[in-house]
Amino acid sequence: MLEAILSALSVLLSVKGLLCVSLGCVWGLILGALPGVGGPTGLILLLPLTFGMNPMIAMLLYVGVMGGSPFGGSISAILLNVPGTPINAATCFDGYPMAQRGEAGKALGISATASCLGAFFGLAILIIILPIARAVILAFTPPEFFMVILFGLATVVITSRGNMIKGFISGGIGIILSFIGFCNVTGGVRYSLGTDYLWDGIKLVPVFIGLFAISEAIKLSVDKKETISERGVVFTRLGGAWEGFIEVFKHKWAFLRGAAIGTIIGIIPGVGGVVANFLSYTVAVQLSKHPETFGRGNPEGVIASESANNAKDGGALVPTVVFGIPGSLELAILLGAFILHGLVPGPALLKDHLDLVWVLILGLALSNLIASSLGFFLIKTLVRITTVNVTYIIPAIVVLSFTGVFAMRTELWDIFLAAIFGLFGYGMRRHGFPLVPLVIGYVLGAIAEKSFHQSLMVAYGSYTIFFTRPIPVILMILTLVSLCVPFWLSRKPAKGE
Amino acid sequence: MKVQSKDTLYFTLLLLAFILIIIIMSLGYDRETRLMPLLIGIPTFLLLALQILFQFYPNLQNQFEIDIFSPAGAGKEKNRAQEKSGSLLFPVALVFSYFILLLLAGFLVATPLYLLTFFRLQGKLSWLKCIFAAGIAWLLLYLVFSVGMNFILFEGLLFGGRL
Repeated sequence: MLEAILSALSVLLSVKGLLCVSLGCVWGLILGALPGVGGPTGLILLLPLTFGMNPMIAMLLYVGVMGGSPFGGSISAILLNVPGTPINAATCFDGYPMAQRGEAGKALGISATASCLGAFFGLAILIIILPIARAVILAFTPPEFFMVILFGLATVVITSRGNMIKGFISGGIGIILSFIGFCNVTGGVRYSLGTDYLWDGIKLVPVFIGLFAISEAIKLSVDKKETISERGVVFTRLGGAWEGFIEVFKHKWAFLRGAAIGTIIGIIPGVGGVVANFLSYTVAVQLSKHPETFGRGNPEGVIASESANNAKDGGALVPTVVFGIPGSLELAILLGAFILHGLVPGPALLKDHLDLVWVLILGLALSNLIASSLGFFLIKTLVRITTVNVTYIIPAIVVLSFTGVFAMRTELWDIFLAAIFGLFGYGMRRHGFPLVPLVIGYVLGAIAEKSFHQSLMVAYGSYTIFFTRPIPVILMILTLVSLCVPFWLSRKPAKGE
Repeated sequence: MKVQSKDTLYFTLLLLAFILIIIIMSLGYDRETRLMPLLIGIPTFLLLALQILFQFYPNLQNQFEIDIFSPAGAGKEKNRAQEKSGSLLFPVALVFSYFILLLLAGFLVATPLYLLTFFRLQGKLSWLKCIFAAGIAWLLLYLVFSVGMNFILFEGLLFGGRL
């Protein structure tokens, strides 16, 4: 363990390492502040550029973005009432009213402090859990693994707000897309339409860039907005950042509660930051002596929301590193980056590349520290990005995406595929089909199939293996319960009705 | 019978056709190769069929509009899908035209042409601004990829590029 930590520190503290974390962090801050663009797009645009880089250095760039984007998102949430990323949505509730009454600096100070400390809290929990994780890994054989994936997908679907059926459809399509090309169990080629291009399956980069970056460019064009935000910027009393720093310590219990909720939600496979953000805010309102002040600029609201959405990264790294199941969209892309760099996510990563895991942990901590420090000094400048005319943003996204996709494999048809997925992604969003289950289904589909067939091989073709072992049975019950809970909640009459 | 949203219906039908093709193609593979695609494909097909039914019976759909964090917020999805906005044709046509231009003329010719067209038609910028912005973007592309990264950008079929 100590050897791995020292090896990770040597990479992180090298000139290249520090530069990569800082660059990634600034990139994440900028894109995080752009509503609708956010950290996932920032990570996706980096994928082609990092191909060929040392995997550890590349990972530092990625964690830099992951550390910077949540705080970047809170900047536009507080100043414009437009969450830069979905995980900052609850920050708007109290952050924007604070900005409206001239306390923007204080709100941003709270956000910077709570984000950074929240991330440290989540990572500390991850460090505590890591040694136990090895024992957990040994208990997880293919049937357990298959059930964990099912449970992860189910939780993603039930937490995608709105029509659950559409969530299931989205997940199903994502899994089916992962089946295109060579079957990693039988070696047969599926759905290649007779072209060599599809033999190796659909590549991650064009799918991700199409679904998020190109579809966002199409959406911005169709929406015909002048700027990403049309509300203008509140530039009042930004110097109150220090007051915000003090405020977090005044409300230490609100912070600790938010960070704990964020970490726990992060650990549940496939749930992610939006849930952590809203749940933490809801609990803060429920436990407050003055719930009526929430939504009117209560600092506790910002503390609860921001501490949870940064703490969830540490928690979400647990299923990602231990099982190879992404805890959030960003981590699904990070898993894609692992694969691009020839690393196998999951148990093998923890066994064979422990130094890389430590690079992720330490890099994420450093990136959060840099993001919050930069936040204190660069708030005024960063905020102006959200007022750039979309006329310049849209072509920049398209050109950068197409060039990036081509640079990845010098394969021109990848650009066509990205354009197709862009149109498809726009259609999905327009008609209310959530993209997150699709992406997570796409990333996990092939792994689920492999685990399923391996389980059958172990059991000589008998499906009873999924019903006779304790962990798969518990996971199956949890999956069924998590699928039934939303229906039960929706039928339960609200208080006072 | 009144359809809730024709656009959503057509899009769902398109998804249904895609899954149906996948299921039909799966039947031609051996047992192990087709097992998982069928296990996932058939329920997805049935859910899509149900979704199409919802388009004709909106009350049935409300049973599945669930937001576990805010039951009051259920049904927001419907409103989002019904938001009206500009034409989809122009931005999509521009994206695909850029791809065709890339194929024919390569990155260094297609990119400034795409940017000029976009800035002029969508952004309604003056010619001077269009040429200036496209020129800057072209220079950045050339400096970052061709000079900085020593990367060979596709030259286009018309200029000797090969697929």
